[in-house]
Amino acid sequence: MSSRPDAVAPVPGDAKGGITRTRGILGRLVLLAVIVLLLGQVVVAWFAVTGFEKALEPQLSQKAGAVGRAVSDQLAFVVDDLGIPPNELVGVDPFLDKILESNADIEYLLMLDPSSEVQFARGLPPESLGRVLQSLPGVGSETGARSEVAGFINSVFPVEANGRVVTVLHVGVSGEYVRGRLSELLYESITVIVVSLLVTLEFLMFLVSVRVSGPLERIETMLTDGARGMFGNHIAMRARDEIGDLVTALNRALRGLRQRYEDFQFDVREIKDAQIDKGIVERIQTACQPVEDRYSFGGGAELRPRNAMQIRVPLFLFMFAEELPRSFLPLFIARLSPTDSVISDELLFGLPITLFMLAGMIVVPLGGGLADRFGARRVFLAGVVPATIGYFGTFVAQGYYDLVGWRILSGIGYGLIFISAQAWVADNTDVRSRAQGMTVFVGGVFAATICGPSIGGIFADRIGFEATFLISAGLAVVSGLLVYTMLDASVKGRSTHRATFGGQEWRALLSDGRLFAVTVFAAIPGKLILAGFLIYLVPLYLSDLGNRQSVIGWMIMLYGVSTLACMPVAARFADRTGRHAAVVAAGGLLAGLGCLASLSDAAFGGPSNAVVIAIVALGFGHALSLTSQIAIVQEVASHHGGLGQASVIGAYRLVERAGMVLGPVVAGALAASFGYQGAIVGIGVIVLVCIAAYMLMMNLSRSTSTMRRSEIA
Amino acid sequence: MSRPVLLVALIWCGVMGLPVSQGLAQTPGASQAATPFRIFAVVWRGETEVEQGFRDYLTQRAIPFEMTVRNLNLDRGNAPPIVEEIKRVRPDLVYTWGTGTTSSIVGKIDTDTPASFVRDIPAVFTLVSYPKVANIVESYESTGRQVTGVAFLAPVETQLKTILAYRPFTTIAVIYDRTAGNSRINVADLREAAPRMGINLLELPVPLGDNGKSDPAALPGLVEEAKAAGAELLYMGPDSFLTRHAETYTGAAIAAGLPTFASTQAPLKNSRAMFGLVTDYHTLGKLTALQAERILVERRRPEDLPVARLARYKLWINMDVMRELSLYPPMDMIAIADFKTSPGG
Repeated sequence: MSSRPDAVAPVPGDAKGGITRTRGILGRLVLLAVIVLLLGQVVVAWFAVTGFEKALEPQLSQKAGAVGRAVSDQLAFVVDDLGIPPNELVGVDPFLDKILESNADIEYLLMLDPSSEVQFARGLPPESLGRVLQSLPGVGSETGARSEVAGFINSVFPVEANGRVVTVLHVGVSGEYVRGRLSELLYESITVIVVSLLVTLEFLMFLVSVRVSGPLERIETMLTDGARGMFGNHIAMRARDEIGDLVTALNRALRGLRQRYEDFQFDVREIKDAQIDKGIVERIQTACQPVEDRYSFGGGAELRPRNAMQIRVPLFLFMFAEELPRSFLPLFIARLSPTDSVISDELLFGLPITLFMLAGMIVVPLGGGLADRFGARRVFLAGVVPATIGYFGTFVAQGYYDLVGWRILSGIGYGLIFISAQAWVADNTDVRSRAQGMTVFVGGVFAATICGPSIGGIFADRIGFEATFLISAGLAVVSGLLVYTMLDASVKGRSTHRATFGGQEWRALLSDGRLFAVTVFAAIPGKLILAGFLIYLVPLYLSDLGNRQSVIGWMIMLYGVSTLACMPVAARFADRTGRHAAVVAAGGLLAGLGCLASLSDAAFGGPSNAVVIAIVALGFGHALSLTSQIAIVQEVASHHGGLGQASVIGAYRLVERAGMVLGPVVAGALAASFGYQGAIVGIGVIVLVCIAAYMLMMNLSRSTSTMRRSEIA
Repeated sequence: MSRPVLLVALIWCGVMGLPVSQGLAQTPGASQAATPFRIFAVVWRGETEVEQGFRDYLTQRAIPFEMTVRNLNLDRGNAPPIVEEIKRVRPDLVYTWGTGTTSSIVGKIDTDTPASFVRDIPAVFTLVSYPKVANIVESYESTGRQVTGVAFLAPVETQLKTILAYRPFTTIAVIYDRTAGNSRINVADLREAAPRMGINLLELPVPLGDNGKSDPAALPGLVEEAKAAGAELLYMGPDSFLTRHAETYTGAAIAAGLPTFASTQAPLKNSRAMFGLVTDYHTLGKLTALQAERILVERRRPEDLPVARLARYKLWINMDVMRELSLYPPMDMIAIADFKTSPGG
């Protein structure tokens, strides 16, 4: 599953909390890291790209030289040794074609007679042949002489018979080829820079908040309490670093203080007990009373650093593992699919993805209950097992049917990890900081959405599909190890994660027009386009168009980038204006219209560009609608007395996931009848129709609810 | 073994025509019995390169052998005393060259007079065009007797494909000696394959002279006749009569502006046939020796050894004739062909 901006959108925080407090240190660290990393990487990438350009061109010319010499030697044997006149040669076209076929970087082969008339010409369409012929060098050129001809690098090889030039061979290498390779390298460099920046940020945020700002916040509490005379606190933290030492020293100081106070009280008791005169006892008591009034030495709290952030890196790593195959998963499935199936190929390719989603959808509510009983940490660890087995199984998959099984296992693991990470955040935040905590969760998922597909595509190009799944398995194991070693096993669930919705919530979902509209006509289509278009259709279609995996991964990455870029702005806008319903509609329209770009590829400079536009539109559209959808659901829930917001949101989430399950099936069915391009347009149309229905229902229900309110009045 | 060494070894084996797996797997020689194998060879018209290849292979493999050679001198009548001699000497292996020699030394499979042939000594034959049709073996896979050997003709279909690759000829004439079995079989094969490949075949048997044999004087007339009937190419099969008169025949063809395709080596070497798909005699000899090795050294029974076939044939083009007729091969063919000149030219 791609992104799940569940819970709440990552709104830049203004509430006081462990995470926003890190702004000072983290902000500076991040800025510094970004500058240093960017500088270094851009310089390296620049050297790589220019170096490549310098190295590739001579290499190409060299190859043109080698091929030219080999062909002209053969021609010399034919025209000189065998004495066959060039104009009586038979089968030259297929002969030249075969050479072009086995040397993809050579664009054309021409044979011209001494008066520059064309004898044979292969590899060029007539119009560019004309342009090339106009600027070819003359007959007098030396063997191997190179020149730039109409955008090609041309090498000349005169062929002699009886000491007289009878034909001149011209070999053309395309500058296009060099440029193509170069832009690929550029894409990959940018990808690597973006991904390494994000990964660095992930680890920096993790380290700073877990090791620095979290403990500092507790120290601050301790000192504030101390300033108010409360010396009973203790910070629970075991870390052997500078801050850990500070915490230990503080704990020791307070313990010493408490000890001395106890000693003092002991002495006071001794003295009091030794008195016979009650008056003296009372005076001693009066003298000591202010101490007890002003200072407290007991009843303090065990201060624990906020732990919400601890889940971030493991979650990021796992989501990264899941996103790695994003750019080629349907292609990989297609490769293993049986050819003799009764159902269409396109549906077959989508089925494993649908079953993965379905497994996740079923496991999520169950996992919530498990997290209540066993704690989020254990459920996370339990999820790593099937997920890893699933990835490894995919690595060794023999055929379609066992692949389906492996994907279902991975889906179960995914669902468990997803819900347990959410539960961990809930357990480690209070109501006040819950929203902030959820940005931790969403941020981790989104960072993986950006990093995974792009790096996965590069892996797929270099080491193949299967081996990439092996990397996923390794990352999942590392994520499990991090959870095992770093997460505090003593944290017990404080909140209930079990989906507690029942008949009441379902009734609300079905009877409230606004709730129904936003769930069925906005949320479900939103997930449907995500799974059907981005996850299923994009890899298949882009690969059909001849794109390399790294490029496909790069394009899919744009979804995460555009969502992340747009989300804070969209959330702020919606909050300020309060027009959540309209913003949801705008997001849906944007996503749906983006898919229609494929209708007129040419206008956008080719079918691949049209897909890129649809991906970016989808990213913006989702950024707009996701936060506002939640806002509407919360608002509606608050209008219904007796309904918990959390329960309604839970029901809404469950229904929404149906879109993920349906996506690949709908896309597959469309692709079977209309091809990939037609399916993209079809999905866009479905989304637009749903949004129209949504707008209609929102309007109707607004008027009815106003009416009802006026009736009551 | 390091890579360059392995490469050199592979190339060496390739050059020597050895099966690579064997060449690398065992060191020949040292352990062989000191007593040489006695091989009794019977040839049709003196020693050829085939015998040279046969000897070269055994020498390379360090297999000790003694070879006695007898010549039938183009006459089957010379066979009986040689058969008697073989029966007396009882060699380890009998070697026969050509269809005539083979059928007069080891006899046909269903002969009525088995006593007049060598029937109980292992034998290998070589240069037999149609061993099955000539009734020397039961089938290529299982010979059904103490005899095996090598087939030497490229399949007719392969030959026709080569002809069509040179030019899309539509009408081909075959002039042949109707008294020779080989020729009749060859023409029957052509008759079957040509229509399938879209070729119109003209059959022109050489008329018989007063002696009841084909008349060489009729050849130039037949070439003219073929030309008049629309033939674009003359096909020369494994025909001893035409091979003997190849000079006259191919000369007449060139005069009529017709190219000649030959399915055997001799007309290409000794006359002016334009091109042909042939077996290299030396390689053929080596392949025959490989069969001999299996029988002598590996002690396998000839009836268990399928008739061997060469995997590759050589395309020979006579560049003098090609130029004279201005009929040049396509570029793809030039890369794989061996170019020869006319004898004496």
